[in-house]
This record gives sequence, structure tokens and C-alpha cells, in this order.
Amino acid sequence: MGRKLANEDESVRITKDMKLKIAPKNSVFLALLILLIFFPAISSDYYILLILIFANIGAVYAASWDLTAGVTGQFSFGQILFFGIAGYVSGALNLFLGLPPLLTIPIGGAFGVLVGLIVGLPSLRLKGPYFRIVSLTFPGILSGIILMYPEVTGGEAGFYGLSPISSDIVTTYYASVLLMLVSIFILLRIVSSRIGLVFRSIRENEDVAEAIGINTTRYKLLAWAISGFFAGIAGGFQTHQLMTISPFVFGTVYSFQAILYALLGGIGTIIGSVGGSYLLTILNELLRCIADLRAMMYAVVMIIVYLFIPMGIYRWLAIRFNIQLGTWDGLKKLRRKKLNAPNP
Amino acid sequence: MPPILELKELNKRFGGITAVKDFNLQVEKGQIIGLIGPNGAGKTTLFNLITGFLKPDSGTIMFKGKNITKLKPHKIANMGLVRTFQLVKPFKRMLAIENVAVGCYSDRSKKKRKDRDDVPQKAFDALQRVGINPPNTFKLAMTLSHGYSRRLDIARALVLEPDVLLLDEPFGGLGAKESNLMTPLIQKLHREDNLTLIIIEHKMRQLMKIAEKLVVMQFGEKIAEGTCREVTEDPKVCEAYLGKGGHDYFARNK
Ligand SMILES: Nc1ncnc2c1ncn2[C@@H]1O[C@H](COP(=O)(O)OP(=O)(O)OP(=O)(O)O)[C@@H](O)[C@H]1O
Ligand SMILES: [Mg+2]
Repeated sequence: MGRKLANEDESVRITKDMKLKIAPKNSVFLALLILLIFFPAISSDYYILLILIFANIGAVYAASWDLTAGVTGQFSFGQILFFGIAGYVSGALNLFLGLPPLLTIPIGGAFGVLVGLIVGLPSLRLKGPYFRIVSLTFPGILSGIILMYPEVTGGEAGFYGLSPISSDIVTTYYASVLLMLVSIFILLRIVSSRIGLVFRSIRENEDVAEAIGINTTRYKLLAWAISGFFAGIAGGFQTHQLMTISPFVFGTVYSFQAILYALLGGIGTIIGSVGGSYLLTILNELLRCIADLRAMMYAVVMIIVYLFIPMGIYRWLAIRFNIQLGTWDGLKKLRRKKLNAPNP
Repeated sequence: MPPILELKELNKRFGGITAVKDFNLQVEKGQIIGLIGPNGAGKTTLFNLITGFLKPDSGTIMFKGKNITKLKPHKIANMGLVRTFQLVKPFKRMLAIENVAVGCYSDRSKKKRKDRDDVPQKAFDALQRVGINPPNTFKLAMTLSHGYSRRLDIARALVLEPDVLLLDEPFGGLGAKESNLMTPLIQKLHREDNLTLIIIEHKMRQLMKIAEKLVVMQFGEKIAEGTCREVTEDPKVCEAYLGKGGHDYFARNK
């Protein structure tokens, strides 16, 4: 079912006069953006803002997974590795060197790049399911290492008493909104650029991409590096937000969190991760009152969604409302030049 | 002039099977060579060796005077030796024009291009050359017919402006009508781009129209080489296809 519907989604709809019609319903996005920006004016409730902050962090984290898995086809079960390492690096820099979050978060992101490249290496050799299984083990290995050197890493307790992003929740909220918007914007730009075009070709068929002269090794490593960076800054942000980090961050659950968010929102769309993160983070809070049944309710909701809209919410909306999903931006150039094609 | 492509004593084994055995071949610039042989003869394996997707157990491959035996596939493609695959392999969830545009970002195409902005136009033109026009240009590749997919494969290779193009069964799965369009297309490309072509094909009638020279493989070995006429009259070739006594059958049914 998903396959069949996915047919229509990315097709550029063409009007009779052969011009490409690119008609995003910008107004909806604009309305949501305004809501996001003015939300503290509606409610500055600490608890609600906190949930939204987590939704923003989750959006960046899920979108980073989507770049490798959904866009480039390098599906991993270990995304939390980048998030966690960057969190630890940010925490350590803050704790031992006293660096402020504004510095520790980007440096954590740089470590995400490094680890992304290291993780990327086996993905070049191991194909499909083999790599997925191996990727599942990475975070566990790391938390093992951390527990082995408690004098440096703080052992099970990890680091605590770190500097917060800001002592004011509204400021922290705006910082998270900025983080999310800028990250998603950059990721979307990458996906619609020539780099994203090549990423998608690797997802579709690596051998063919090689056969037409694409250095797939180089591009896959690039995808891992970018993914590692964005997962990393999300991890650094959350560490400062919580003012603590411990080895429990490396739990397998958290790798699946990225996958669930992206799948729900629409894999390969980047922007879907934002919707997925918001919906699931809020749902998670709503279900808090039935704590015992929460995991089950969560599963039920996911099953219902995947049964009825397996291509994810964003693709489903795109088809319903004729939103142009992101394609290669070269098409816009072609349209600007006017197609000098003969009419059939 | 030295040959543009030269295979020397190539060998490839898969476990107990010898897929390619002591294979020698010289390809002159501008030639169209038809590579034929029964199923499992090792034709596709030979393409995989030439384009770096498989490494030979022994032997060398020379392309434009350089030894390319150990190079990676993308390096070989960027030198101007490009292939298509036996089964059509479109980038399914990408538009036809996007499929073609990918190759424009290979090192070879980047070097050949001066104006960065003309990539979309170049992809558009390549599709047009193989007969894919709007609205098909902007359709998802998975929605194109099989005949169009075959041409899309060729257009994808064309944007690299190859010197040598290897086509693995370009007529595979095509109906009579589509086949009759593919033949002049290949001839046109050969003429206009001064391409050198090696074409694997089972459809002899189409191949005979295009190829200047046929190479016949059986059990990994080259058993015959020559003009279409020479080869089809070779008793060894008839035997390879029809078994012992095949020659008489061929002669009787001419
Ligand atoms: N990757 C591989 N691993 C093991 N055996 C292989 C592999 N590739 C090909 N073979 C074997 O090598 C032999 C030659 O196969 P190849 O695909 O080259 O034949 P072909 O001439 O292209 O046949 P066809 O006309 O059916 O396409 C066959 O016996 C095949 O089973
Ligand atoms: Mg074959």
C-alpha cells in the first residue's frame, strides 16, 4: 500500500502548458511558524514549554537520522551514538574547562562528525541487514567504555550540575526553536541540492550510481558526517537543557525514538521528522497519566498509523493537499529558463 | 592506432565455475562489437570485470593505454568507460530527469562542463535524445514503461559523454515495436558521438543490423570472432547454440 501511494508523492505535477507547477501551501507552514514563535505569549507554562523544547530537540535528532536512512538509504539502529557522544563531549568541556553551551554544543557537533565518519566506514563494506545489526551494537560499546573509566566519565552517575542553556525557560524555548528551524532549513537545502540528488541515487541503487561515475564512498561518508553533526548538536543541547548526562542516554530505545519520529512523520522528507517528533512527544506526555499502559498505547497508535498511512503523515498530507514535496532544485532553474521543449 | 580497449588473458572463477577463461579482445575506436553466447556463457561477468564491479583472478584490462584492472567502478566510468545493466535499474523514486542529472555530477561531467547552471538543461536534452520527452521527463522513474526504462538507462550513461559504452541486452524485454526504435537510436548515438560500443544481445536479428563484428562466448571462452557472416557460418558457433549437428540444422533452415 505504501509503495503504491508513494508513486504519486514526489511526481512533479505538470499543468497543461507543460510548466512545472510548484505550489507548496506556504501559508500553512507560515501559520505554524508564527504559532511556534508566539507560543510563549499564549502560554508560558513551564511544563508545556519544556515539552515543546524536547519536541524541538527530537525533531533535529530524528531529521539527522532521516538524512542517512531516509535520504541516503544507510539505515542504522544506532543513531543515539552521535547524540550521546556529543552530549558527553559538551558536558565534559563545560564541567572541566568551564566552556559555555554556545561553544560546547558546536564542538560536540564536531565530535558527532568524527564519530559519524568512523561509523560510516563499516557501512561502506557491510550491506543492508548486516550493517543494521552491527549499528545496533555501537551505543552499547560506548556506554561500556564510559562505565570502564568512572574517574573521567563519572561512571553511572555521569556528569551533573552542568550549565543550563538559560535559567529562563522562555529563552531556552526560543533557543530550541532556533536550533530546530536552522537545522531543518539546512538539512532541507542539502536534500534539494545536487548533494541530496546524489544521496537519493545511492539510496535507490548504489551500483548504478558507481557505474555513472559517482564516488559513492565519498558521498556516504559525507552523509554520515552531516548526520553526526546534527545528532550531535541535538545531544549537546539536551545535555545542557537537562544539566546532566549519564550512560543511560545510550539506551537502544533512544535510537528507536529517532526512527519512530521519522517514520511517523514521513521517512526521507526531513520535515516529517518535525511533525513526528511533536506528535509523539506530546502523545507521550498525554499518556503519562496512564503510566502503566503508556508503552502499549504508544504501540497501538503507531500500528494504527502504519496500517493506514504507512508513507508517513507528511507524505499523506502532501498528497491530500497537493503540496510539492522537495525535489532537486535544478528543476526550478529549468522552469525559470522556460522549457524549450516541443509540445507533444 | 592502438586499440581503445584491450583485454589480455582475463580469468574469473566463481568457486567451481570458470565464468571467464583466458579471454583476449581488442576493440578499436568507433567499432560496434556484438557479444553473444548462450545463457551463462560469462558475458555479463566480462562486463563486470571491464567496469571494475568484479576483479579478475588474473589478466589485465587496458583502456586508452592505461591499466584499469584494479580501479574502482566510478574511476573507470570517469575515464569514459560506461555501462548499462542487464536488468533495468532506474532510480525508482526519482524523476526521470533526476535520474539523468546524477551523472552530471560525476567528476568526468564536471570537468567537461563550463557553465554550472546548465545541468538541468543537459539532463533534459539527454532524455530528449533517447526519445523521452515531457511529460515523461518529469515522471517518477518507477512509473515509466519498460521500454522507456531501457532508454533512461542509456540517457544516464550518455551524460558522461563516454568513449566506450557497454550495453547489456539493450533489447531485453522489449516488444517488436520498441526494438525497432532502439536499433536506430543506438545507430544514431554511435554516429553522432563517435561512440565505441560493445553490445551483449540475444536478439540476433537486431544485433546483426548494428554490429560490425561479433564475438562469441561459450563457457567463459571466446570461441569465435569475426563479421556477422563469418560467425554465423562457423560450425563451432552453431554447435554452441544448438548442440552437435547444429550446423546441419542451421544450414538447412537458412
Ligand atoms: N557473482 C557471482 N557469483 C557466482 N557465480 C556467478 C556470479 N556471477 C555469475 N556467475 C556465474 O557465472 C556464469 C556466467 O554468468 P553470466 O551472468 O556472466 O552469463 P551471461 O553470459 O551474462 O548469461 P545471460 O545470457 O543469461 O545473461 C554463470 O554460470 C553464473 O551462474
Ligand atoms: Mg548476462
